[in-house]
Amino acid sequence: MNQAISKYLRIALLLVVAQCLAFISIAQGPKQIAARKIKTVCTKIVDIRKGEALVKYTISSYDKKGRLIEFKELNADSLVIVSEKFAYNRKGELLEHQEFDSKGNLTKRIATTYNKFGKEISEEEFDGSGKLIQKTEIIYDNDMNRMQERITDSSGKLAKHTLYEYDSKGMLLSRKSFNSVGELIYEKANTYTY
Amino acid sequence: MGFNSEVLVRSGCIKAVILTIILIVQASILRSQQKDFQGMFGLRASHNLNQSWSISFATQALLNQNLAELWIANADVGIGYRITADLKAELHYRAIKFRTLDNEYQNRSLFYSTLTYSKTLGRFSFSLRNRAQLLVYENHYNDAFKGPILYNRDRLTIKYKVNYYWSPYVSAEAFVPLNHTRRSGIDQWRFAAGFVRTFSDRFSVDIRYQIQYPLQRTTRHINYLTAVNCYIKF
Repeated sequence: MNQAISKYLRIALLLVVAQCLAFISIAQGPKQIAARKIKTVCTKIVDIRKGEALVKYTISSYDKKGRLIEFKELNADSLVIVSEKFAYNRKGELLEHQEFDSKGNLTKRIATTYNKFGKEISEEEFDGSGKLIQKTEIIYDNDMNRMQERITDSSGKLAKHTLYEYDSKGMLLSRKSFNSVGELIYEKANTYTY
Repeated sequence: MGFNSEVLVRSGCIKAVILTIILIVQASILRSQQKDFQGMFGLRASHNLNQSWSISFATQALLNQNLAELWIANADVGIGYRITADLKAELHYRAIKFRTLDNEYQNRSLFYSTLTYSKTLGRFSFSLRNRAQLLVYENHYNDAFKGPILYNRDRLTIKYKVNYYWSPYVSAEAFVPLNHTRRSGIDQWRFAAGFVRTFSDRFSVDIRYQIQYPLQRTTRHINYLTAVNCYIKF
């Protein structure tokens, strides 16, 4: 009996390993890039839809885990138009996104924070001088459903407020946004038939 | 493949899975050593106090002799703490009534902690649970008081999410006694196959077929069990 159990366990283990390998091989995005050890992707874009040929280049750089760390857009003369940089934490969550102009000056910085469960809880947007432009706070319920989004301006005054509602199967029922004085400015309601 | 045909294929797959489980259960009942049908019915209610802490209350009744006798009944209270998105720790106390061979119910108390690591890969989810348990027989003032008996249990569960409603799974659990005088190493395996039917985010039912292989015993009594557990979140 023990030999039979041992045999079945080995078969089960083999199936699990085979399934994991299958997942890795069909992975998309960062996993695919990391698996192929891609460091940069240079793309040439020629747009002649408007008659005149517009040529531009993009350079995307990736880290060892296949995450985008730098993006540059260049004109036909290979001069940088805009560039962006991305920073991640150990879990692979995007922590900071910086945007630069053609001269390499910082124009915008977005810092994102997460709770210990990997859910985004706030996003702060700063201008080039480091001044806070706006802050977005995301509030979850005890079951980790996104319930509220609060956007405040540089002075901390509420600018926009969004509420989410879900049905018993966790599907989004409605999304309502309110302005700074609490007036409804946007509503989207879904109805599901099961 | 069109939408309707895909739905039909899915529906066919689910029916095939259920039929297979029924056939396995039927076949195993016929060859079961206890020569009777054993069933377990359970209810577990849980509540998330906040994003980290949760409490639970559970009760189970295990019936044997073709569901005619109550063999084991228990009530369980627990508190859980989610450490990270993948890792959860729990502490439980379980009060057990166990029917002995002379048809008397013996009190048993079980204290246990669990540490569960779960990971999802596509439609598959893997869960590795460690359970350290301490079992005592009867109350401390009773002559029949015995224990504590310490066990370390490790369980691997592999679940496949067909869709929101259906998730078949298989699991294997190893029991290791920590303070047994004669037994060392794994002294019991528990295998299970079943499925979870999710009705809503707050209510699901788990139906499984379970086989227990005791090891290192003079008379080995393989146990076959069909279990139905209901889960409520409030």
